[in-house]
This record gives sequence, structure tokens and C-alpha cells, in this order.
Amino acid sequence: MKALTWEGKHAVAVKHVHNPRILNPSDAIVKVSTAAICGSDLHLYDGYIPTMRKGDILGHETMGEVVEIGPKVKRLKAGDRIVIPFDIGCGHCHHCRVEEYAACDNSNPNAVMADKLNGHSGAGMFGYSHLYGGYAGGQAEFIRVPYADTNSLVIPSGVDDEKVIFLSDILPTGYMAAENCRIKSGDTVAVWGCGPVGQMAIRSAFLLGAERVIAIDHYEGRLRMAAESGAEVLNYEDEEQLLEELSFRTGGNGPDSCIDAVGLEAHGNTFPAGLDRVKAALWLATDRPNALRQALQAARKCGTVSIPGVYGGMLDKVPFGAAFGKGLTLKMGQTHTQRYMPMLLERILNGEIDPSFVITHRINLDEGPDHYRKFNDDKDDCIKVVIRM
Amino acid sequence: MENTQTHPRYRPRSPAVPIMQTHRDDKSRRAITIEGRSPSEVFRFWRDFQNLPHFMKGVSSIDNLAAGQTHWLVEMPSGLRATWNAEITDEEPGVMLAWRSLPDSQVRTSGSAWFTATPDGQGTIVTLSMDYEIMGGRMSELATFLMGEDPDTLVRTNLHRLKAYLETGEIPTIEGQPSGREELKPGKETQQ
Repeated sequence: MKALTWEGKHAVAVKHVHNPRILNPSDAIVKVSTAAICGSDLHLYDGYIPTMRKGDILGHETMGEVVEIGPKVKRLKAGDRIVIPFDIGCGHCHHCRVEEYAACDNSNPNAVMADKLNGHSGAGMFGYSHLYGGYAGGQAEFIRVPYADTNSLVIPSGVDDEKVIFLSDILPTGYMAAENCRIKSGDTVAVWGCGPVGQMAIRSAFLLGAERVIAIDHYEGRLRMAAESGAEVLNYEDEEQLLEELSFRTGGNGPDSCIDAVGLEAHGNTFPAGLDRVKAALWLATDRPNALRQALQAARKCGTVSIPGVYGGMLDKVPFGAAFGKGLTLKMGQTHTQRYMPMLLERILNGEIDPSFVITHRINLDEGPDHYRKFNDDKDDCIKVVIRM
Repeated sequence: MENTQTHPRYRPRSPAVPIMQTHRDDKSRRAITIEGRSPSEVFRFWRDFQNLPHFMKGVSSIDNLAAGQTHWLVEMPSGLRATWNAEITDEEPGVMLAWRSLPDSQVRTSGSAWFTATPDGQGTIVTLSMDYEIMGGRMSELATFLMGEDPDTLVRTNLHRLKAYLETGEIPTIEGQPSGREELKPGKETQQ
């Protein structure tokens, strides 16, 4: 089959590789119909995530048709059309049973590596480094899905792939980010980063009852899309102005909750942001938490800062005093995708949300390497790339 | 204590297995929680040594011999094999088991496992200690194969694999999946 593979920093290739096969009794093999490139794939592309190996198959936003099932698969059958969540739950451990799938105890074959780094390992993930299990990803013609009964959502026929593909990651991720804000009616939510997850968070915040959403970015194209969702937009050019503007627009209170949908590669024009770039380049620090710093500073007293943006390592100069002084609640982590998929599919089928609005580029697999570059370099124009097989 | 009658939560627990007092002298001692299995179930699983290769990294088979001894076989992908015989040195049904290789074995190994109910009574805490001591030149390859980086990595790995096997019936793996490290010529994209 053909697959997109990670070949090093800023290097993605299309390669002919073996087809996947059943390795464990609860596996399924899926013929991919649509995949997508995620903003978090750019952290791999930029070389920020350790333990990638040259040749690893990329991709964690995937859907397709089940073509083969292992002997212990009970719920799925060949021919089912499924969306596959990006994080892999075993379906049996304590965390899966309480729907904390991203914290699955059993799905990461390299759990010991993650234990040593973080204290405990999270779930395995598709196409997202050997620290998260090294599972081959879904930007390929076929993918093997472990614990297939748990890691699948069957899609009724007649629904276009583009309407449901984002159930694999960015829609549940944006929704969980908004849910973590504990929104009450009348609330103002500020969202840093108007990439695909930020866009989903904006729509989800409105679905959950927010009165106002203030969207922050510095790419005009992304802000335009946020405005179309009903958000007020704020183009930060100067951080002092950003924090003052947020305070001013919220009557001095600050936003009731803040969402950092940027993560570890924040841009910024401040001195700490410049220092972050230098330190990250020298590996003195791993992450550049500029959006997080601003969110902690801006949030209303006793408010919530919700962090769907990915962080990978050590953060420097995070104003923890502000978080403590204002009694903030911090909520974060990988999305428990499986928990949200059925409910969000219902909302899509009811017409409450159509996440396909973020798609700006439709390509085939051969165009993948070019579009990794384009997604990385041209964020104004390129917001979401889907790959049709 | 007079309060123990009126406040059930202060009631002394059933005789606690002294987790913190076991294996003090061993190089590595780690614990893991297995949901939905009682200590006696997990003990019985372990006591049938033929089950251990399901989760013990690198061990191909363990056969029962006479007099409670077992025969262990390790086969590496390179073709290198190692065998040894082991004996049970201590056993308390439902509670603990300890074993070690017989003297003069090529691979010296010892281990012990304790099985305790979780505080909510819904699962089992397994406390494991294991070590290999391997002599000889080519044997360093064997040591890496069996233990990974060190005995601590071995113990952690085996506990994760035991938990996965008992909770899900399988051990997570990516061995045999495709990657661009084995690139094919176009048109030869059959299954492995």
C-alpha cells in the first residue's frame, strides 16, 4: 500500500509499504477512505516530539471501511464504515471503563518509556511517536485498529466522509476543551489559536451556552473563519495590548474561561517568547508556552484555563503565581475521544454542527508531502487538509 | 481503640500483606494493580508456570519437571538459546510465590511475586521482583533481550504485560506492522 511516512524534521515521504495485518485477536483492518492532517502532526513535522523513527507512518485522523476482523471482535463486521479515534483505548481497564480513554492503562506497548518520563503512561496513539506506542498511522491506504470494538464509531450510510471525519480528533478535542471550561450562560470564553481545534472549540463553546467568544490569532484567514462562527476576533500584534484589550472587552474582569488551543509551538513577539525559541533550539527547554502564559494572565479570578493544545515536556517561566493568586482551575490533557463520538455524531446528524467548514484543501495521498509543507508555512490560507484515498 | 466499633473505616484491615517489607534486598521491586481479578485468581494464574511466557518478556516456554522444578527456555531472534532449571523457594497459596534458578545454571535468575487485594476489593496488587544475572561474552545480547536497559525495566515491562494480558486477554504490540523502513517496489504491496 501507499503511506505517508515521517523521514525526519521537515521531511515527509510517500512510500510503498506492506499492507497491515491482524496482529492481535481484537484487531481490525480498515481500508481508509478519508484521512486528515492535524495541527499536532506539525509538531512531528517540526521535530518537537521525541521518539519518532524514520519511516513511521503518520496520521491519526482516519476513517474507512472495515475489511477484516480478528476473532475477538464482536461489534464490528466487514463492510462497516467507521471513524477511528486518534487515541487507543483497550476498553477493559479502569480508565476505559470510566470513559477516560486517553488514560488507558493497557494500549501502549512502550508504557515503561512513558512511565519513566511522565510518571505514568497515557494511551497509545496512532502515528504519534514511539513514546505513545509507535502505532502505524492512518495517512495510508489501510490501517490496523487495535481493540477495534472500542476504537470505532459506525457511521450510517449516506453521510459524507467530510461531515464525520473530524469525529476522529478535532471535533471531540474542541468540544472537550469547551466542556472543561464549565461554561455558564452569559459566560465569555477566550480562545487562543484559531487553527482547526480552536475553530471547533469556538463552535462548541457556543453550543454549550457561551454568550461571547473572543478568538485570538495573528493569521487573518483564520480570524475570518472564527468571525464566521460568531466569535469576536483579536489579532495580537503586541502582547501588552492583547491583555489590556481582553480586560477592557470584559469590563475589567477578564474572560470567564480561556482555551489554549495553540500548545507547545506558540509564536509571540515578547522577550520570553524570543527566549523560548532560543532555548528550544538549544534543547534547554522543550516547549514554547506563550499562549498559556497569556491565558493564565488574562483569565478571570476563579476562572478556568482549558488546554487542548499539546505540550510535551518542560515549560519555563509559566506564571504559576498568577494561576494560584487568582484561584484558577486548570483542565488539560489528550481527549477522551470515544466518550464524545456518539453524542457529536448525533449533533452532526441533527444539523447542529457541520465540522466540514474548516476544510480548505482536498488532496490525494501523493500530494501529502507538499501539503505538510503548505500547512506548516502558509497558515493564513491553509487551515485544514483532508486526504481522499 | 474504642472508636473501632462506631467508625467502620477505622477498623483494622484483614492482616495486611507487608508490601513495604518484602524484597528489601532486591534490586528492583515494583507494583501494579490488576482490575477485576482476585488475589487467589492471579496467584493461580502465576502458579501455573506455563502461563508465564504469555507475558514474561523474552521467555519462550516454561515446562514443569518433577519435584516442583521448572525448565525455562529463551530463544532470541538471532537464534541464540538459553535454558535453565528453576525451583520454587517459597510459596503461600493466594499470597506469594518465590523462585530461583538452580545453582550452576548458565543464567542465574530469581524472583518473587506477592498478591494483595486492592483497598476496594475489586482487584489485585501484584508486587514483583525479578533479576537475571548472565555470564559470558555473547550473553550480554541475551541480557539486553531479557531485561531491556536494566532489571527495573524488566520488572516494569513484565508487570505492564501481565496487567494487559489479564485485563484484555492480549498484549499490545506493533511487531509486524508496516513502516517505511521496509520500503517496497510499487506493485509489491501484498500483506507480509
